[in-house]
Amino acid sequence: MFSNLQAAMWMIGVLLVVMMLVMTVTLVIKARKVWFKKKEASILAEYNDYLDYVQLQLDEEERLRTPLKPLGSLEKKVLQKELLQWVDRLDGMHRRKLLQLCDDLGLIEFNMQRLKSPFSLTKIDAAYYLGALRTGKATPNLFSLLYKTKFDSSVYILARSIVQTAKDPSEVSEALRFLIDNGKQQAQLIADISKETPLDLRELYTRFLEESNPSYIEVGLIGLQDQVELDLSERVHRFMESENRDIRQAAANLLIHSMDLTDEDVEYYLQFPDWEVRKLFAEWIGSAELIQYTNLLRKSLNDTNWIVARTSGQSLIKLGEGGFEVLCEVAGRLDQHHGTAIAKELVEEELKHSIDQAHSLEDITTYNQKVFVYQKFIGENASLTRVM
Amino acid sequence: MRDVLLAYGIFAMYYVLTINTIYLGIILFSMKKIFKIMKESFYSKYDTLSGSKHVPPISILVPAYNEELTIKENVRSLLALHYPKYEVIVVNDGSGDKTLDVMIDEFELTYHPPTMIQNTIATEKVRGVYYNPEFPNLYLVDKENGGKADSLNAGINLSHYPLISSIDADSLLEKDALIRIARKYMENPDEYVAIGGNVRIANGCRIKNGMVEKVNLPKKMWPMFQTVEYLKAFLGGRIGWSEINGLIIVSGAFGVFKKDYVVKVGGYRGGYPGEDMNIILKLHRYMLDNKLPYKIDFCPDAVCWTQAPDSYKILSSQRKRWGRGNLKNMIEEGRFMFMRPKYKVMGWLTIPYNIIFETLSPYFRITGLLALIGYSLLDMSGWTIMAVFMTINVLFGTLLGLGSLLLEEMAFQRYPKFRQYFKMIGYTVLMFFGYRQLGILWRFLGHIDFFKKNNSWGTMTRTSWNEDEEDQAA
Repeated sequence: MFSNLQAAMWMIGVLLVVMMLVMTVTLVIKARKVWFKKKEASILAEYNDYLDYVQLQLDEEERLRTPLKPLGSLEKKVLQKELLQWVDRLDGMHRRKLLQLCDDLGLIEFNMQRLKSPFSLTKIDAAYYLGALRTGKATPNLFSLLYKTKFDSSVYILARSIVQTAKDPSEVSEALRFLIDNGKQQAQLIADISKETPLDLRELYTRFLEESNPSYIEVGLIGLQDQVELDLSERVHRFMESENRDIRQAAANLLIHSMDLTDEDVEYYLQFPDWEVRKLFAEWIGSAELIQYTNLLRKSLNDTNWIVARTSGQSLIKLGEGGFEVLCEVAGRLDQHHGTAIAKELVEEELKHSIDQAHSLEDITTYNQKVFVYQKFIGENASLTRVM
Repeated sequence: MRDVLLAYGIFAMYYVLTINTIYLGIILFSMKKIFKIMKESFYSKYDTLSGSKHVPPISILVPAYNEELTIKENVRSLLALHYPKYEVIVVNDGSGDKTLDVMIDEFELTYHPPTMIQNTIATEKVRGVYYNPEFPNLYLVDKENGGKADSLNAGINLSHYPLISSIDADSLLEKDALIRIARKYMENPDEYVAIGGNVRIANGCRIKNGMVEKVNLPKKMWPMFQTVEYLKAFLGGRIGWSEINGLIIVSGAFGVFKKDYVVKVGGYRGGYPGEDMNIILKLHRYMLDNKLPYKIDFCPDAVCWTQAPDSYKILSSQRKRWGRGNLKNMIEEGRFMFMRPKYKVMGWLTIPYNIIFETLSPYFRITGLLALIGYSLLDMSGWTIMAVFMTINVLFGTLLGLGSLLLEEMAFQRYPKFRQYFKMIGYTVLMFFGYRQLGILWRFLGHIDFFKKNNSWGTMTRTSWNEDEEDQAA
């Protein structure tokens, strides 16, 4: 019993020591953060006039001057945080001038040094700011850090910085290939990262379409959505037959963006086996106001998938007067098709919406036209009249 | 007799020590992961992502039962999220109060017959769907009462997107909460089937327009206990469990799920509380049965603020409900995974830990304490043993609490003042002098309710988010 009690007393002692340690560490972290916040506020107050000067001179031709006093590392940290927030919000000449100023302030060299730190958090912090500084000089160092880093969330932060600093598409390609080859199916995230560069990546994305790894194809298809190649649609059609749902979706999106589709193509994809593709095309017809496909949407109102059917109805409304008339015509039928119910629901929804939004004479005229069409196909409706 | 009591008392002491030691191990896993979380949290480009068209769209499901006091702010906060494409589906579960009217008035919603709802998962009868094109991403489903799980299933039936997020109607999401979870999901969309958010206690915080404007600790005792309890459970516990893919629960207050898999496991289980743990258990089981690679993770920087019960009556009712739900889940799902090699971490660690150290803990702890008291009464010298045991228990538990506060300080710092830190330490210690014992008792009473087949919801009242402002105005 004595030895048990003695062991227990020892345990109490150990627990107390560990507790004190944990508390001390926590308090030190807290105190450091409080100190940094105060220091940050005082530095910003000290450089307030200088920051005002930078803002005022952004529109001028001449190069921005650096502060008279050399900056310490804490001042560099605070000013870089402030200036790079502006960089993210600006573009063109303003951005170039600010980036030049950051270089003149020694921020690039400062972060290049921090990239060599033994602490991974400091390295990631430096990499993040080097990316924001768009400095091509840092790209090789960022690559070597990327290859040494365990594949977790950090690699996406590093890859984003590499893409931001890249001066040649081959560097972007190397970073993207690293992510695709070593990561999971994260095509959307990779495509988002690739958008950080102002470089023209059309050729790179097009090359990705020839790869056998589906992730490359998906990144290529997503990437090309903003950099349309007009002669591409032929090659993209074959990806619509892919067994991979994500590739079909990305290909469908690209086809819609390319706008290089024949009437037969549109009809084909509105009857495609994958309902998500059908929905995408139905939605696109409405948002692009392609009135030539009104009749195809009329058919899609009876799609077996209710989401597609409803989307088709909503797109008919977006097509304007003609589309609304078709919707009323379908709504006025006496059959039991679910398309009829959906059409009726959407028509009433649209009429209520129109009267709520009628603020000018033109709005009221449009609304009256709709009511006329409604009454022509459906007749007087008590519930609707009450709402009106 | 004396020896038997002492032996059992010592067994109970080691039982509690084992719980604390396992928890310490889990906190160490959390410590290991915290640096990764800090990097993600500080340096991921959330601003860029929240405007990106590459982010997956999400359907937010908000089951609402008698939520007339909080529903407006909650929905307003959801409509203001920084997220590119999402919809909010509020499901009124046959509320007896004015939840439906409040929603209709506030957002000028109009009735539509429920034709737009699919019957993917069977639910109670849906009376209608309310909608206003002015709020194109807001839907209100009105259905007959069927419970929270049934409401979530009805929401799934209406949802248009491949990811769903369940959110309690008494909770407020931070503007970037969804995008933070989505970024994690985008790293590995094939394997993530569920990601939970971090739930924090909003009592005491200043709320304006459905947003937490200033973070404060609660003024009242019960919510304060829950604040330190949640910090320990979420930061100390869930980060660690998620590191080994052994997370047993994604809080019903805020989580994101892959819809396909939720449908494949039959949706949420109705009729009993604990549907949030149940769906995670079913997902683990389904993925492991079918040998599919998967991950269920926790995203501590995606924050949801919730109202904690602020009275003994409501808190005891909630905890009894949790106890009942936990027991039901272990009987329904846990026993099939207990010590089965094919269920890996779940089979060998999570489920055994949960059954032995959570579900059965009231029995061991209560009887162990009684044995020690009995032994001490028979032999007054035994008081020393009891006092030493109690001290170790309190110190060990406090150390775990301090570990969670360290994690909070390193990565999140929601409570920056020194005063707040010491107040939290005070409550961490105080918990061992009544609150923890009550927790054990409530769980035990929950088990009794389960065996008596008492499946009522118990006491549950909501307070307006603007209570403080209203108080001041008065």
